[in-house]
Amino acid sequence: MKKILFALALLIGSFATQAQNFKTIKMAELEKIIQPKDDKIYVVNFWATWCRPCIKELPYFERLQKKYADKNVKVILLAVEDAEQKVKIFIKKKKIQAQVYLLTDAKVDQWVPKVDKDWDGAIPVTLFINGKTKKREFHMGDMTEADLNKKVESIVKQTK
Amino acid sequence: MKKLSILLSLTFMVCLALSTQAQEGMVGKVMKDLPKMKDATNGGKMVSLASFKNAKGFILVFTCNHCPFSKAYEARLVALDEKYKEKGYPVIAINPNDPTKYPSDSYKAMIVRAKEKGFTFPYLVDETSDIARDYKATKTPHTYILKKQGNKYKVVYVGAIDDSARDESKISDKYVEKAMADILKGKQPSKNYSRAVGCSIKMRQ
Repeated sequence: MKKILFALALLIGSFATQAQNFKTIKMAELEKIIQPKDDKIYVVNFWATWCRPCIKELPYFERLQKKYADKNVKVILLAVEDAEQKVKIFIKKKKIQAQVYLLTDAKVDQWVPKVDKDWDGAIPVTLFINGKTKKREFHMGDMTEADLNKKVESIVKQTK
Repeated sequence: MKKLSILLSLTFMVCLALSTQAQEGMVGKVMKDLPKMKDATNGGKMVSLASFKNAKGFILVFTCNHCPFSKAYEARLVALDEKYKEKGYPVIAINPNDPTKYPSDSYKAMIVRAKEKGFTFPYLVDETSDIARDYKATKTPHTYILKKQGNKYKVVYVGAIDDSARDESKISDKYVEKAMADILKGKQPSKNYSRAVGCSIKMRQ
């Protein structure tokens, strides 16, 4: 029985590691992500598998990515979590397609203020970056799908 | 017209002040006593800060049942209370979450949780979430160290308990303990603000 479980765990593990859209990142890469050089519109959502309102929102971001894929919009789901495996298994199970990053080094007290100086660390939060104008908007708390779409729509319009 | 523009610029300044550093801005604020709140560890007895006659201050923590970060800190809260209660700074836990959004944050569930985890400190119900609003708390756990000044309470530290919420073995900075060490020496905490990732408080509307 133990062997079967072990084999299963290995199998799940190997599936999970195959995820193309998952990557662990360091502080320096996070800074690049939140200060993009290109003119794409970035929607960076900070979430965790343990955060219920975050989980509820994830499908909104998934649909957003699909809907705006041809409009230069890039959705990034930035996981705030200790256990890498948990995130991998989760995105596999939920069939998450958007790009998922997991920040692995850096202490919270150091990177949180870099994302937004007013952010005190409560999640979910979403950062909207207009690559063209470099304008950043920071939304604290969860959002309805309608509000999220409206927000992105307004940024898309600004860039035209 | 001039008056209007002054008014406008004042309003603008106020908005600006409100939008930046909401929590950091709490450091140094002098708060009045809390209203009496129901204590889930003590058969619903109503308590406020003034109920603790011998306290020199408090380690006030907004926390709850459902949040994994709060759960991760339960044992550490008990340890803080045991360490600092006798020095005059007991822990007071307050749950501001709306139980209609998180049923596991109900008063009944609080009684069960406090018992299970052996809370040595009061676990109070913020029935309107107004205490959390007054303190500009946004997440659980969110910690405030208060220093008693007559019948008022001065906020001397706001933030996290330490720098590794979910993995105690990775703690490298114990913010609250460091701040308490300074306070007990009669000094201002050298670090009076810190951040941590936590669960957003679901305020009652």
